[in-house]
Amino acid sequence: MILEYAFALLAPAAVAYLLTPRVARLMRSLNHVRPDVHKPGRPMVPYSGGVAIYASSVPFLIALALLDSALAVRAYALVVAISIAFAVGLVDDFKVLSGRTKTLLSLLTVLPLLAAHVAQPTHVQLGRPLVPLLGRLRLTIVYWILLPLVAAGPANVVNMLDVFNGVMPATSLAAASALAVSALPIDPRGALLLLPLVGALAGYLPYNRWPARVLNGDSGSLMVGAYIGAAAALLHLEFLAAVALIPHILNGALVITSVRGFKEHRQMRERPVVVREDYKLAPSTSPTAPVSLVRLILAVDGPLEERQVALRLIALGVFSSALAALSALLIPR
Amino acid sequence: MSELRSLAVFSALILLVWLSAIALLYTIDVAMMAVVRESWTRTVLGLMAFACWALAWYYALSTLSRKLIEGWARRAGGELRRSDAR
Repeated sequence: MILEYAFALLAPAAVAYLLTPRVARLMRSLNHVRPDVHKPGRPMVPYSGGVAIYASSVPFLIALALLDSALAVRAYALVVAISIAFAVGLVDDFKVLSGRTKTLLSLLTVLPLLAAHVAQPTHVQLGRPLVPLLGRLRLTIVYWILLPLVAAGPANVVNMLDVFNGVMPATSLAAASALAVSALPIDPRGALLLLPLVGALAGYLPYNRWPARVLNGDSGSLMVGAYIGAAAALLHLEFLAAVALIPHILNGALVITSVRGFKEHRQMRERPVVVREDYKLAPSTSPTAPVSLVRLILAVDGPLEERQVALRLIALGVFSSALAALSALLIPR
Repeated sequence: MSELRSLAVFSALILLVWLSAIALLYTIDVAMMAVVRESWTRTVLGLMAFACWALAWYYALSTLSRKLIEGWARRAGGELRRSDAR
């Protein structure tokens, strides 16, 4: 069992570490680059680093499915769900989709989970999430009403907070690690499902941390968010995933309510944050600019460098992930 | 340390969201299940309780955002006036 955990964690980390610079070189050779807007001179950085995260996690999920028949149905359902999110993100990376189209397409990620639940109910049981103090929640109808959001919700909120170098992989690494550790005493075999993501993000992070040598793209952020949400649903850890992603959810709620709907950042006329001449970020003073978590952080602390903002977001992600792990300790057994 | 004020503010906010979510689920799962027998009635009441919780947070966040941004705009205006005077 320990060998399986080591394989599921370390092999994706090694592959991601070796593969990411190659993916970055490929994207640069394809001229698939984007300006890193918060840096002097706006350097062009290879885009769609999510390809490396996908390519270093999904093969190991498939390997786990082949090695362990009890895990196979859940692993394949997870592979299909995250592949849908990855495909939507990759299309958006190359041909920009509207915010609404992207959100609607990401809802498709629930279909493989539902199909697996209907076809193999002994292997895939959805519903009755685990919560602190109560154990299994007795939601018989509400759960199914909210189910379409189980992977699409995390996918979109993770995508919306993917605004600074290193924030997406670092906060997602904290969330996925908290979920994997929480799953260990509840479902030791199921915890294996999260390890390829933890490993892949750990191997990928050195290239995306400030100053980034590759940008994630929506292929990375949508896929990673969908992975966290879908794996949480398969392990009954939906509440824990929501807790680990509270900063992302707060940011998503602030942006959506302030711009009144799902809008791609390119469609927004005003930015929540302005880049000053000294390349420090300052919150917009316009009353009509979108409200985001970063704008509020800057409103409290004053103008900051990109790296300082990223560190604050990562610290909040680690704090909420710690609360998720604490929630797991409070689940009665 | 004052420049880390945002971490204290938003960590406290995250903690409050977490605690209130647990309290909400506890209320729905224990109190409502004990009092209401009909499954559909429980669903409607549960969704209403969730909507009230979300609405309360929406107003709290809107107020907090407005105050923080107005406070920043005042401070930024002051800084601008001081730099103009120099």
